[in-house]
Amino acid sequence: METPTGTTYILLNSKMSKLLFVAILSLLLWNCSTPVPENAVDTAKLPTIFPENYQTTIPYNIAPINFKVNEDADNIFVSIEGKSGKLENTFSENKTDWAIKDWSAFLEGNKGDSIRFTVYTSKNDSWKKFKSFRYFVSPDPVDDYLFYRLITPGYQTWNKMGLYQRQLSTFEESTILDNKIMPHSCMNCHTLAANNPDNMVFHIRENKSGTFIIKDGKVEKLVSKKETPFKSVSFPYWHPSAKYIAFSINKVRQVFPSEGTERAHAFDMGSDMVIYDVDKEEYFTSPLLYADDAFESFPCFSPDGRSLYFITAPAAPMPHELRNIQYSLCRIDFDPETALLGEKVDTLITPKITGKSLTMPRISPDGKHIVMTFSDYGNFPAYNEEADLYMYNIQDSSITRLDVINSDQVESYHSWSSNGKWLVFSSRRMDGLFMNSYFAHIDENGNFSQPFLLPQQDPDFHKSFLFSFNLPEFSIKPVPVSAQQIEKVAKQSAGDKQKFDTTH
Amino acid sequence: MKEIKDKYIIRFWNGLFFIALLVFWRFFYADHLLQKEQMQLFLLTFGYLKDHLSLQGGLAIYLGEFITQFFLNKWVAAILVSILLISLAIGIQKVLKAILGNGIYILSFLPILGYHFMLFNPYYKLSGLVAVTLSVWSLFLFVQSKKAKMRTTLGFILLLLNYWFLGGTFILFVLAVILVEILLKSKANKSFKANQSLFIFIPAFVIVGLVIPYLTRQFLITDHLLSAYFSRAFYQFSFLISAPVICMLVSLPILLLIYGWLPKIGFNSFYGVWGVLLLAVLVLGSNQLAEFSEEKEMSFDNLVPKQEWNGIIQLAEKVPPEGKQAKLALSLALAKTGQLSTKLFHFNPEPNDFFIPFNIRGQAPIIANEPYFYLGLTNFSKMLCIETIESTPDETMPVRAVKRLAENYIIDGQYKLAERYLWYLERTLFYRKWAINAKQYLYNDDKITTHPVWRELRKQRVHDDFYYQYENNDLALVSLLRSDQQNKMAYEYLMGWYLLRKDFDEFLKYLPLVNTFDYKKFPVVFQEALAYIFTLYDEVPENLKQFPISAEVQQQLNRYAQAFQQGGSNKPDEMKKLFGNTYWYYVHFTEFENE
Repeated sequence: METPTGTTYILLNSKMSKLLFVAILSLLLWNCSTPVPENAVDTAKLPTIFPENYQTTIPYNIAPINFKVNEDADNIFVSIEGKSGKLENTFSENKTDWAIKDWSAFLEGNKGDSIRFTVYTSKNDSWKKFKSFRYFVSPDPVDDYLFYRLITPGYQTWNKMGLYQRQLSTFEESTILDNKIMPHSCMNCHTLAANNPDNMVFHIRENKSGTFIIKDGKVEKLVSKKETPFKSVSFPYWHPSAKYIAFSINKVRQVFPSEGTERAHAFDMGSDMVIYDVDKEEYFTSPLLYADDAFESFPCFSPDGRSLYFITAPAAPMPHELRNIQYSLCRIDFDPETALLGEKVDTLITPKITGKSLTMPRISPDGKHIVMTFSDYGNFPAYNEEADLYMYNIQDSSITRLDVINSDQVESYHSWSSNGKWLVFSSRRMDGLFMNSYFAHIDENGNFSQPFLLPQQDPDFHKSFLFSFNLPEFSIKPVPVSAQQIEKVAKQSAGDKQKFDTTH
Repeated sequence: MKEIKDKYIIRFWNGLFFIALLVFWRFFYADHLLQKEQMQLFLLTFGYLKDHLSLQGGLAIYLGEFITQFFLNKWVAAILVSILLISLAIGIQKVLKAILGNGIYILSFLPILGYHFMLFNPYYKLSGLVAVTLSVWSLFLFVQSKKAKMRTTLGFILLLLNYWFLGGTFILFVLAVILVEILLKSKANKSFKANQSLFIFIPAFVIVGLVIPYLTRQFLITDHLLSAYFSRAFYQFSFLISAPVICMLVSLPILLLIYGWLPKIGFNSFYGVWGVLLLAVLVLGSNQLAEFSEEKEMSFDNLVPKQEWNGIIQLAEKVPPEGKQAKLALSLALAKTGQLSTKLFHFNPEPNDFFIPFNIRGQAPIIANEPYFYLGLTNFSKMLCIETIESTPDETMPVRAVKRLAENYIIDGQYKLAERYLWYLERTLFYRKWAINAKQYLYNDDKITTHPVWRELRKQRVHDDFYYQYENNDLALVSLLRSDQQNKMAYEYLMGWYLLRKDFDEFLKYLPLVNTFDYKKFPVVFQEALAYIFTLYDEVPENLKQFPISAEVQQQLNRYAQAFQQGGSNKPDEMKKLFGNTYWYYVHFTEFENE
């Protein structure tokens, strides 16, 4: 089954001729100046649109935010007004489809200001006008690319997944690696050093498995062998110098509940942490990160490279304690010159204070904030409906629940743009099952804007798309290697040997 | 005159093979074809066509799926497959006739036998047959061109078209074109102008053939190397080399070699002998290579989506089920018709008949969902539907899983998700009506209370939170009963579960619940079990005396005991004839092996 790729699907039925007519008409209209409908009846209410978003902040370099008007209408007319003028057009099928060139020029001209959308609908030649809504066009650019994994929200098997890169100023998506070229492989945990894919790491599991590092345009495969007591590593985070990668070592399992809308629960049977020295090809750790009586996971280096944040919980028998295990946020010193870890661990947030378990700490590029996911228990919140994003202020130790971007569904994975002005996060808010990527702007005071959904050319895209956007990561450019290069290394390389040292 | 005679003779053989194929596919293997339809979801949208045409071999896949959607009807399925196979033979005959002149090319049936046998394996796709057939006909188009230069140009164009639209058949086309050109040059067919630059044409043709898939992979598509060459039209595991596919791709070139160069060893003169021989291969080969036991399994399973419960029981009465899928279907049919507590031991049950574990081969996960769905365990049913969708090797979406998933989401009130899957069904030819009807239930809880199936299943849903454990499904059944004390199917499955495991303590523990259901009389299976249990007591416990054992059952038990004591314990076959339908026979003669 080929997945829909944002194309308009047209049924081969009796509506065909009508649709073709409308398509030709709209093509003609596209090239004509479209007049604002006269004598439109003012409804004084907001139009019902999808994606539902009536107030948000968007970057000036984002692709057209197309939407569908869910009103009974034959055509729609949309006018966008800004300080630089107007962008207007008539659209068929009640869906906007702005030309990228026109949209981009319009946003560029309205940088730092609001733009006002006014929607008109026509039915039997009579027009209705709806209440206007506004978006703010931020002068802060978003990174050029978003990397993500597309995967169906399955259970244990899969036949189609892949890592993809989407250019955010257009609708162009290309493959980094997928199951067509690497059948039966699971690919995950793509992570970039400072949003730059010149230093990138990801894992391939099951078939031709290993940890893959892209560095200086070359692909390297790491396979843990007898020299290390662990078979594989997970959840990487690059040191800002790109000399080190922190990993956790997890034994992840799943259980499938009988009732409710939660599809599964994932948990760790145990976990520890290690750091990989990219140049020396050596793993090292400290007893403080590799303790039998604790589960350590989800590492995150500070932007100055001198602190390593991570989550930890007292070891517990699983899955019996699944509903009771709660994780804390901790920090340990790290000296990048000597690769030595500190002698003590600072606990910054404990469940005793919040009553919640936290996971996935991701620090802002200015080093001021850590955004985390809080849930009632565990460290894999993708299945916890109550999971929300919270922000920890490193300077004053305050914790804020990010109500403006949270929903009553799961919010989980999140990452920062290179300029620290945008946060992308995963949420199942659309329907409770499929994970989608949402963007939110953060101002200098740490306030987030209303989030908006990753734009698609066809607003009906989500009606039939059967994949989740998993692990969204901003990138300043596309991956410098091809899928074929990765495949070649995966198949031909037996993997490099790495040493392991537990005394750092 | 001879030409006309040959024409009628070959038509006779074409007709004979067509009838033989039709009989086989309609009367011996129709359920396999039906399952092929269940394993795909063909969409009537431009987007679906466009997605297919953007892949090498995509047109063949599209046409293969288009044809397969009609397999819902067993006659139509058999006719279409037979027509496709005979079209391949006719195409080969036309090509040979165009190059070598008139003749009865009886060996043209050899490749169709090959593809006929390949289709026995569910992993070989109908699109492969479509691709090979169209490729042979493209070769026929090629040999219509009498001028060498025109043929050369047409050859390169058809090579590219073969690769992009039909996939791996470009290999067949390249080999066949080279042999045709050599034949035309060496055999000097007067109606053709031979290519005088074969030493340039042949290497150029081979190089283009080899390079095009490589360049396509480098610049146009992200795909596995083998898939880039062979495409996904033939074998569901397109990244593996398949010997049968290679045989098919070289079949026409081999026939060209045989008819072009081998000494005439009587292929034409003794066509009758060869024809009978090939027919014999068709019959004997089908008998040997076909998976008739699998067909039998499928004949049960294919009745489940139609909810033809009585049909399943009638089929079981004719042909007792043996495999897991058939037994699961029968258990379900007995439960759905209220006969599980009376006829459970009529069909040689085994302890694990009620549920089957997850298995990624073919339709197994979707079959495994059925009891969970009808019991009210919608979460486990959803899991198995999604696992089915996710475990098809060629990434197609089995329509049965999509339909069931939509039903589960409707029952659970997850209407947005149901909408997403109904979107697909609404764009099919044969499930559109069902989907449009199902959409009327979305966001309308009151309407669901009027649905004959969903109404009950919504009521039966489990309220306890526990985790999926196949080996402990009795706990799930207990939970279902706790959530809905009128879930009769859960109760009968639970009691059956314990009886099949000979767990009398648990059986007795839940026996009192029988009074909460609307049984007209104490179920026969329970009577037989209780009568047997009583024989284990010195004195029957007071609390069990309330359960009435009929005189008929008691007398039969007495007869059984007498026969057993009189040497029946060593004569299982004899005992089976007399008491094979009873629980006592099961207790004594069926060994319990837990999975």
